[in-house]
Amino acid sequence: MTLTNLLKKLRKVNHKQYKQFWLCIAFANLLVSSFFGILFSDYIQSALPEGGDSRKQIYLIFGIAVVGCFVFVLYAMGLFLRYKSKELGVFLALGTEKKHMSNALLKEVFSLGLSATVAGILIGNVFSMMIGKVMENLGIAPDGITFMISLTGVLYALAFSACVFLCILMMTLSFLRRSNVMDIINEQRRCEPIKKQVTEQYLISGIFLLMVGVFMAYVLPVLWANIFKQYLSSLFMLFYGLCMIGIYRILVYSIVVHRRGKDPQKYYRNIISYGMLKFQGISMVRNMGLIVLLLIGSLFASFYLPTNMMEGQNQADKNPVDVSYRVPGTVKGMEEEKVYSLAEEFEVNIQGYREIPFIELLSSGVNRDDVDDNGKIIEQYEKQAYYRQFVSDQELNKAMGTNIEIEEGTYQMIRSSEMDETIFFAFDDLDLAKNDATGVEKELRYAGTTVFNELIVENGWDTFSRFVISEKDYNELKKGISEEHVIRQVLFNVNDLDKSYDFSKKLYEEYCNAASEDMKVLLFYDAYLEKQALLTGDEYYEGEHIKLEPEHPEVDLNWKYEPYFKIIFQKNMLLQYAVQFLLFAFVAIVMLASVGIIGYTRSQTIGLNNKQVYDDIRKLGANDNYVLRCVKEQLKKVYAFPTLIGVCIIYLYQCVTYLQNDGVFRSYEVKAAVLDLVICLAVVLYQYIGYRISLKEVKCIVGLRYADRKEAVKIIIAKCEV
Amino acid sequence: MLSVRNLCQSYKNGSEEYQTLKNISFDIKKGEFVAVMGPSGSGKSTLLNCISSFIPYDSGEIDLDGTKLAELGEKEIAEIRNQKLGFVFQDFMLLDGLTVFENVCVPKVIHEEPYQPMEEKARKLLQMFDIDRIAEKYPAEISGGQRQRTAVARALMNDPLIILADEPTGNLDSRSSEAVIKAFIEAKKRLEATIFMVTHDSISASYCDRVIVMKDGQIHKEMIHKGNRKVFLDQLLNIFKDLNGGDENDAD
Repeated sequence: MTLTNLLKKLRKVNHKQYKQFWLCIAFANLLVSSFFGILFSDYIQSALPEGGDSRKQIYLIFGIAVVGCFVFVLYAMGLFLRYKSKELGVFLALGTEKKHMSNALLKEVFSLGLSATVAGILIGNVFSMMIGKVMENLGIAPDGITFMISLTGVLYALAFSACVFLCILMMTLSFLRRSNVMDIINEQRRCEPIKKQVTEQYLISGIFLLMVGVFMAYVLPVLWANIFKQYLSSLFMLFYGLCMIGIYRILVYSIVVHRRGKDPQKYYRNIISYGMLKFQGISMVRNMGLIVLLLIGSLFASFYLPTNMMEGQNQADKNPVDVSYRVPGTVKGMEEEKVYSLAEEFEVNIQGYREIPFIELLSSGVNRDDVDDNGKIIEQYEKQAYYRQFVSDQELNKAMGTNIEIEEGTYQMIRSSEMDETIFFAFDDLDLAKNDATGVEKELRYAGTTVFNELIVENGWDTFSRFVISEKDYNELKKGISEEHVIRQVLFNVNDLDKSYDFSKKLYEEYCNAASEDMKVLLFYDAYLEKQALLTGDEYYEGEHIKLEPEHPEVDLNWKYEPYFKIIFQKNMLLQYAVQFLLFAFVAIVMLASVGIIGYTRSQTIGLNNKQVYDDIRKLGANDNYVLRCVKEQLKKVYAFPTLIGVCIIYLYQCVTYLQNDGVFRSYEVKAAVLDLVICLAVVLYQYIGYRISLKEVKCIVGLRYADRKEAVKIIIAKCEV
Repeated sequence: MLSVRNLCQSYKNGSEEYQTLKNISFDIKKGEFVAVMGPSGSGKSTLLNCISSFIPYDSGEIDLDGTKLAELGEKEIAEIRNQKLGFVFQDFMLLDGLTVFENVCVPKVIHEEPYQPMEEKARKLLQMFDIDRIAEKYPAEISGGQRQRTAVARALMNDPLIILADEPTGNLDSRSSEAVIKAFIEAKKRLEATIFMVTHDSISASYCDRVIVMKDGQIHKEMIHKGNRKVFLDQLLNIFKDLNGGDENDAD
């Protein structure tokens, strides 16, 4: 029997703590490295839209997830040291040299940490490869790029692992540096009470700060921009800090304040559990705060799917036509007869086939892309802004069966039922249209809008704006126009939408094959802007030609002439945003995993710290039911309260976002809000399951339940012998 | 054998400094069984922790068999703890992952002694304290009294100069407490062990040769056990009655 043997045996007997610690480090590294592996791969980077909110949101939320992973490793480390403290204290008290024990512990932490880190990174990268290959097989990235983990992703993952590894080593060293044996022995019963006096004002100030934070950081900048056409400084985001302080105060109040109130019976029933909580107040509140933050982040990421799905569904519902595409006059091969014969081949009946001849004219506009030094939007009138499409009232009436009459020299803007003016766009921005080929130009006056959901391209603004003008103006402006600027808008329905998928796919293929080189341009391409860029010698990125994928209508090509097939759109809606969905879902999973582990480790800490108190209250006559109630009350604080706060805050935030988009709750937003609520309930269920698992574990720690039946039988027999 | 001279110890809480031990001086002779009693906060556990070198002290001198503890480095302190001191804690401090037998062996294992004499010694001690039947059991499988007797056996494993016991009966019922005290008496009788015990329990203290009563970080009184234990117990209870202004509860 040697000391090494004894330590080995203790390791074996206490394998559960070692396993838990190892798994936490490996899990954190796995989650982070797999996400980095996916996120920074060329495959995903090319599939993510350049710039845009999705990319920023993914980075931001993942940042919080990384912090969450980092913190749960630190908690796991703290818990591991707490378990080791008694062992270490006993050996020191019995005369083992501190240096000897320190070396042994450091060696253990080093080998556990290193093996868990290596395993985590390896499995994480294998995991990201697997996800990547699944995505590759689904074909959701353009140009048939194969998925491969990037060096950048691996380097980021290594940087995270190095930070985690260094931190756990530093924690071990700081634990070992404790000056005396009693501190080490007492590590398991360490108290961190909140000493400040907490009154009701403290709670009220917390709620107030939370509301002020949301208002100043979120509501005010949007209102300000809408009302005063001026951006507030991005420093207003700092007001989110007030929200954090507010949440902290609410949580502190929930832990510290326990008053007699109107129900003294309840007060006395919970007096012991509340008393115990106060003594771990500081770390408890920190834990709860982090859980709230991670829940908010994970739900925010989870809401991406319902929001986009409902928005897409709404778009499909509002569009009265099943098929719509645009063909420039120069393109041959997509004639009506061909479409009909294809439909016949697929046994699809076409209904209401219409062609509307739009002409592209160089038009004036108001540029609102820049802001002045005070953040005020600069409205810059441009006589020649970009090409926009025009149709005559007669042609439109003929195709759509309407009765619109446009006075000469005026125009009506075509808009969807949900389009409203914003700080960037106004319906009356246009006042001049010009035939670039002949130089004929006409001043036009705004005469209102007309609603045609089926004629809206993309968001319906800027270069996608379409206008109705009088027959006379139309004919004068059309005269001498080059064929490439005559755009044939085709619209039709099919008799049975559900059976039109194969036909739509084939038509998409034909459309791609027929597309001229001029058509293969990015979404925001504008021929005039390209010409201007060439003249000034600037780069024009939108002019880049794209490679069409005729057999993959699900791939989002960011294509200016993307045709609309309702059945394809509905079936591929999930697939089209799959990359974003997957990334957001992954971040949500990372965060929820962190929440689960933080909750679990905190529960164990509560069990360990209060074990002695539970034994003491048993001596005072408390039965197991009473102790169990105390345990439950304490665990509820870890799970129920942060869940309630986190879920309520983010759900309200999301509802405000829906409302703030256009000032009304549209039906698809209500549907999205209902789906969001379902996700919230799923998270609540997840937390409840976490609570039950933790409760089971804490019951074992405080002696309310044995870890397994075999052990229970052994102990009962031993007690009988005694 | 143990000599404590002018021992002072304080701790800081924020900006305030509290004096926990004020000029404590006493001696303990070989084979003596001494108890330290006093109300809560009187400094008894702090005194024991200073003697154990678990916590540092501000000034004064602790001399153990001619060795001044303050002058020792970490390595020597560890050696002293292992060879010259034996410890018994209120919450036993047994290693849950080791059997009773292995727990008892730990002090010798730390000292890397040959296994045969170590096992012999451990078995002897287990028999002496009537815990040999449970030698292969783990701490979680035995009673509180058995755990504490295991701790006493462990404390005696290296034939220490003195056993330092911090509230050894604090977590035990009266029957188990009596068994532990009897274990100490047995050790004193058969192994000439010297025992220094901090306790709240007047009954346990009444078995000792001498009781040091502490109050507010100072030695309030020293009482010698002469003859009848019951008389000595009454004296102890009276002392506590005086200390607590008529309330005997603090002396259990």
